[in-house]
Amino acid sequence: MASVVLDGRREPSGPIVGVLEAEGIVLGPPEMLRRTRYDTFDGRLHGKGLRLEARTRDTEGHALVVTAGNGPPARLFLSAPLVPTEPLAVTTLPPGPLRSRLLSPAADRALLPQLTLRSVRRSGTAVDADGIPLVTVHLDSDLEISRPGTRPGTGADTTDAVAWTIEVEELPGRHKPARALLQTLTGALDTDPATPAAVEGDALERAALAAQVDRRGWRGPVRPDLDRHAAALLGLRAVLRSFADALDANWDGTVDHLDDEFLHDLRIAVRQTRSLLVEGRRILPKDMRARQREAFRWFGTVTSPARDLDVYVAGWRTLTSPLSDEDARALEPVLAHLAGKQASAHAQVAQGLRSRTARQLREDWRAWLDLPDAEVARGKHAHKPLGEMIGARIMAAQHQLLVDGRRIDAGSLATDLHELRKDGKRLRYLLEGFGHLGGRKRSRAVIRHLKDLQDNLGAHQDAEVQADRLRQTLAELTDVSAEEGAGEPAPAMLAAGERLASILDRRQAAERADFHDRFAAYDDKRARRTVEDLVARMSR
Amino acid sequence: MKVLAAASIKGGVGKTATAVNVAAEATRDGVRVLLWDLDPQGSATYLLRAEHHLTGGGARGLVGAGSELAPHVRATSVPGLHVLPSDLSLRYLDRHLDDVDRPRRRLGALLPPLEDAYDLVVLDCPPGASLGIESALRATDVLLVPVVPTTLAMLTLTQLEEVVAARRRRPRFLAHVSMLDRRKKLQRETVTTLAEREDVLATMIPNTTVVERMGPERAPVRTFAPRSVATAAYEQLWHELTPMLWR
Repeated sequence: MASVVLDGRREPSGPIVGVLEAEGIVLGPPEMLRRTRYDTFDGRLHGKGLRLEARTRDTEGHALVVTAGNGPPARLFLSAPLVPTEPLAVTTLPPGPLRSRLLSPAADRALLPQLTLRSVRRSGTAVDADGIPLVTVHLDSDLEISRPGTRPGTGADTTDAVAWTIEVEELPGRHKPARALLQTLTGALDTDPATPAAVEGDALERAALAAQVDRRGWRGPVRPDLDRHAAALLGLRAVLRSFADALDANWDGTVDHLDDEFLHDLRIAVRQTRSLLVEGRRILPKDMRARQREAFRWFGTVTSPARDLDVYVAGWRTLTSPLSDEDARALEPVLAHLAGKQASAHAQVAQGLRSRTARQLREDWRAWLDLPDAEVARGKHAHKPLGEMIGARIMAAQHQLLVDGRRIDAGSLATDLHELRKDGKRLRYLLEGFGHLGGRKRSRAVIRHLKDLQDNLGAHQDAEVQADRLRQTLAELTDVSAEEGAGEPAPAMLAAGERLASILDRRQAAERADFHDRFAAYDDKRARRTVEDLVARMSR
Repeated sequence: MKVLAAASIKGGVGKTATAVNVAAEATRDGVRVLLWDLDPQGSATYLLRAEHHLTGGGARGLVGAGSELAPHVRATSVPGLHVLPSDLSLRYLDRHLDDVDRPRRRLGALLPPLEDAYDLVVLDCPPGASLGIESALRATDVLLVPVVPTTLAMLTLTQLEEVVAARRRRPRFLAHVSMLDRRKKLQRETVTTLAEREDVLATMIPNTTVVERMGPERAPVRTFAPRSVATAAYEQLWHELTPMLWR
């Protein structure tokens, strides 16, 4: 099934209805139709060729409607309308085809309302002698577009909006009637210069275009076009600006906790910035660097507890999957306790990011990034070639990683592996930001190789943190019970908790046992040579 | 996209009525349904007012190398329900399947291009346990077997169960009571036996004239008898099936 739309910027003239009636299509009575388009912040539905809308129509009630390209719409009928300014979580939808279609692309990301289109709709269908539909037509007029945060019919969003649309729905096995009708309509409206050529799509897509909705969504910051021969300071500032863009883009979603990914992406931008501020010694101005390192350390501290809890709560099902159903049920109070702490932690993040301190730090940082290059104070090596300077940093990070890794033995503490993981992250951020200066393919190969090691160190660290957090939570619940005079928490919960902690201990031990081979693979002569080659090319 | 097959070794047990009415009920929940009529008799095709004719070489063109299902699909008078009609050439389906590589996977291999267009494909299978049925079962997520509560129907239920059990990739096997006549003691007793099985759904479709009227009306029961007991039963059957298709 395909849908084709004709539209115009003037009210539909009388002949349209006449043309349709001559084709055997009598339009039904006008009814109010409200459609709100949703997608994730990063446009995952659009990326998969899907479109989600919440639709309220006099004769149909309320429904969520998913379409794929020009395919027929799938609906989930709702008992009440959705608030067109509020996000929607796929996981709250009842099991069914619509939920399963959305779940795979959207996963845990919130579905955000992008625009609402209100119209007066009249529909009509031509049928054959057996009552089988031949073609369906929708005439939408009095179109009114609003975007979250704007009142309907106001602002620049509506200036380019079309005044009416006609959708012609093509049905399976009935291509000819639809195409013939379209031709007739196009011919009848041909004299109207405000009528553009027919386009694939429907009224909502036309409205999204008119309202300049970025249907592709946030795709990460624009990567600066770096020149390895350019001054190091220029390159660093360009990359830092792209991190600041990512920070800004994810700011509001983090404050409102629309979904966990906003905070995750914001923290990546913070960590990358911190890392580059460290690497920027003798390139960036000393005072600024010291001040901003402190500022970004503050951002990291404010957001860290919430992120840890997000990971824990979101991964709870996977974490408890090795347990029996009985044990998993017994641990539900632990999850509830953690979810409560998660909500508090996010409230603190919101408070922190809304504070005057945060605003001041962000403004200072952006002000420095926006300074003309000529006005920026410089470090001693600011003028040196970017490739050479970053190449040296990569070699230093690689050296540190290898030295620390070779020191790890059976007697090393878990903290030693954690420190090694930090070495790896430092190297990875440098490679991700600048590695392509030595060749994209070579850079990707080094990152892939490093990732194998980092995955092992990450799993080792996660198991330790998870076990510690679990034991700590069980102790907290015991204290709470004692304070409330409720005695000891349920023995089944404590026993299940200890069983899960033991599983995590074993998982950590297994990762530790695997470390030697992983590190040996990374410390391989050929692998080291790849890093050296990459740096040599960067510095050329 | 999920695939639900209405099948039974025995004929005349209400497979087509189940397929058509369940498909129609699914559309009321906004599910986009394609009913694929695999029975050369073409009863489902007839009930949905489609032409009993497959274009482009009949069954051979339908399952042959390089074939596509989409050009054969037709709209019906039930919004959201499309039909892939049958014609008499489907009586040679087994022979045509025999001519292609991996015949048991052939019907399933034709479905992926329709993934974006439909949420549910309902297969209305002919009676028997032929190669065509095996190919249909290979593509199926849930196999729904209508059972008239009689001794012989029970026997064929067991036979189909054995056919399914012998397969490596098995659909979920479910049965429901069909054409129930509560006035008959033997049927009541058989229902009691069936109710003990975990794979038998609670919904029972009564033997009513409303279901028979689907023939002259050429429509699902809801279209011409929306308040009937039969319509309520098919609605309940669909609601019982939904969580088994999408958990």
